[in-house]
Amino acid sequence: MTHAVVCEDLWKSYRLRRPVGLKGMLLGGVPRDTRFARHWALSGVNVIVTRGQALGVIGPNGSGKTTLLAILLGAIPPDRGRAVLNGRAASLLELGAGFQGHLTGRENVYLYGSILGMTLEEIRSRYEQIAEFSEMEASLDRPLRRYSAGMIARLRFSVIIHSPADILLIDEVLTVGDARFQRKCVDALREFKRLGGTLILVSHDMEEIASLCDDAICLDFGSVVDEGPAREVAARYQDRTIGPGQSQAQGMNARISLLLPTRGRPELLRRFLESVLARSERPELVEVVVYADADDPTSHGFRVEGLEVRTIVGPRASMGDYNTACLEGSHGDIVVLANDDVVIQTRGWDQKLREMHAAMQDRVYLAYPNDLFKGRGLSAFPILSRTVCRLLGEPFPRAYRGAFIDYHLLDIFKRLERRGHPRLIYLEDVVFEHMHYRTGKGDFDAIYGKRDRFGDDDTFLRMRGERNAAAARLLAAIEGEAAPRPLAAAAPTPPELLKVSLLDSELPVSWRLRLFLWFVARNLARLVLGRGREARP
Amino acid sequence: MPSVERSPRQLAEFLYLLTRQELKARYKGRFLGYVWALAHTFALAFVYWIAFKIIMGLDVTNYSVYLVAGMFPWVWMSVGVTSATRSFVVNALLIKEMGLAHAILPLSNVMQEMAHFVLALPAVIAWVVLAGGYDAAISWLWQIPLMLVLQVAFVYPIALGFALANAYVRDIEYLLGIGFPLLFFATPMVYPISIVPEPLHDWFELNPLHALMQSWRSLFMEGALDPAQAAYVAGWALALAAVAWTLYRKLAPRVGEVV
Repeated sequence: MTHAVVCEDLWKSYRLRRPVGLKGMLLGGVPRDTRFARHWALSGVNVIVTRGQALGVIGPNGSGKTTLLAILLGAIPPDRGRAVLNGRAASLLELGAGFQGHLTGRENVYLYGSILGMTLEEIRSRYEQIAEFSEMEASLDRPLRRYSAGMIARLRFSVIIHSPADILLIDEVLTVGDARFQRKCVDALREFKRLGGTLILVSHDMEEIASLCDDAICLDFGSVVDEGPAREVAARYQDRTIGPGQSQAQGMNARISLLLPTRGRPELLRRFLESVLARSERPELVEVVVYADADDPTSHGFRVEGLEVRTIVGPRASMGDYNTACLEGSHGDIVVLANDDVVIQTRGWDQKLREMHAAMQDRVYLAYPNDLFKGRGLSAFPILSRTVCRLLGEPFPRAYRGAFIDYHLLDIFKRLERRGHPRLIYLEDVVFEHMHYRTGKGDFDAIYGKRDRFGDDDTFLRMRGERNAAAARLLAAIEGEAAPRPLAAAAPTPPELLKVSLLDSELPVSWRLRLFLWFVARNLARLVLGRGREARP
Repeated sequence: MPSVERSPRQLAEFLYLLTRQELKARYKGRFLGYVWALAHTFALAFVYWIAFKIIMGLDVTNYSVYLVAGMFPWVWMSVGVTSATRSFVVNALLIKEMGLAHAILPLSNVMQEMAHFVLALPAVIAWVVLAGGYDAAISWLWQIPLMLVLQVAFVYPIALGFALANAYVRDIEYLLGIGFPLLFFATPMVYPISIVPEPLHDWFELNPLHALMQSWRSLFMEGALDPAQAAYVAGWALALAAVAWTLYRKLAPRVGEVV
């Protein structure tokens, strides 16, 4: 038999009601409506693991991973289907059972070994190896209650890796202990596999899954939603989920992507890149994705020692296209939309962004730095998490040719604010100095002056429905709902401008007023400046 | 489907380690650990002696020996069952993590209390011989071990049954806290069965706990156990074993879900 573990069509449900107790039984007090309510922890799960292979099990909390292990262990029976283990199994689960505080380390090794099914003889003959592996020979005669949690975890792992089990079920335990001991555990597990041992590993550490496992399955709501080579499954899972439940620590190691469309201003570009490097605390976690036009070779192939800079070269296109191309070429967890006429002035700006990112558990926010120009008023350089980018679908709509992307994003988050979730974060002490007109107005005019000054106004008005839908998706993500509920349907009647500003009940009143005044002002300007440049499609 | 194969020998070793661990916990770090364990039961016997002998004037020959010979087996039985009842709940982690909803857990509790009893036996025998003036009998050498086996056989199925039931309905352990004192006085422990009034007398005779305790007392006070009483207890033990086994087969697989 080459299959070490075979699960066929496993189903398992739990009753949702609380245990009734004697009183409940005597009084017949089981509420009728909950009597049949069941939570399906597993529905039709098939697993096959070949001898000598390692299977990774991933998925969000409550997806059925622990239930699957418990059934494999025989701790609970499945409702339907069967699980067969061909071999001796031992488990190391995060609960931490089997150790007694009042016993010494040595006594615990014996008791735990016995629980695992080892005979006294087996334990005795391996005791020295276990003690040596744990690196705690000196403290094994002290009572366990004097041990730290990390020491207990080390001892547990040492016993289990020396047990004669040929199938190991491990749930999220390699995260304890220091980094060096973790590596030692991983090496020991590799050796265990090499000698023909079978491993089932539940972990939230995708790196661990990818490096240790051959195959992986991903569970969600009790079903296998993805399976295949471990590295691929882990990568897909990671892409899908960066969000609630991810640890603070992960947030503090977030990669930052600066998106930077540029044209014809290599000296500004260089100055920006140098300020990025000079002011970063951890430049190794920062990347810059530059978009340069194919006909603008002066902006191609910039290099700054110590900073990851990638240049995407493409045709001339809209600002939305540029930003989107940069976004698609970036890998960071935090995305910052920057300009080449910016100088980062704040030392450690990147850590400040990570702190903010880590603090936002669900990663739903629109942050923006102080540009010393518009300040709190406008998110000129929006900072978004990858989660928000994914939820928005098209965070920088291609339809915008040159402007209004900042307004567009701000508007979405104003809608969210109106729904009780103020997720706009103004980072006043992170200074992205916007040189703007101070950096040679001539260039600016030559390059951007050709575009239609008012062309994006209508786009902004037209895209109200999209913004509303985007806000609904963010709302659903914050409140943990599977499918977004639509916000109020767009009322079709009054003139577009009024509908989008003053009459839009999804927006805070102050923002409605500001939009209205802003558009009135722009329309006046449009009249004054004449209609000459306007009618380009 | 137990994932861990256990040979009888491995089970015995496991039982030994579990039991030893508990004994160590009780006696370690206490200078007078052994004395405390004895003093508790002797003190209880003393209280009953004052109350029934001195105050109420109960007329039983060698009342203090009658009390002591019954109290120690009773404490073993009641404490063993009570702690065993909690064994699945207390070891919930082991059960969830190791799939160890094993019949050996309550057995370990019964064995621990037996160990206390065995350790107390020299003191009990000393009391019987010195205070009661009875002669130590050679037959004790085989009859005492026989009684130990008999009591384990009788108590363990009860302990296992309650442990399983308590995993599902937590009230059982509190119920036992009330039940055992009631049972204590419903069993001729501090009074002889001879003073029970006639219509109730036969019912009291049916109580297997009375038969068990009477066996111990006749062992100590008459030098030999009463074969009829011992056989009656053995019969009960068999019947209880059948019930407990059925319960175990039915309830044990899902213990991991409910603890």
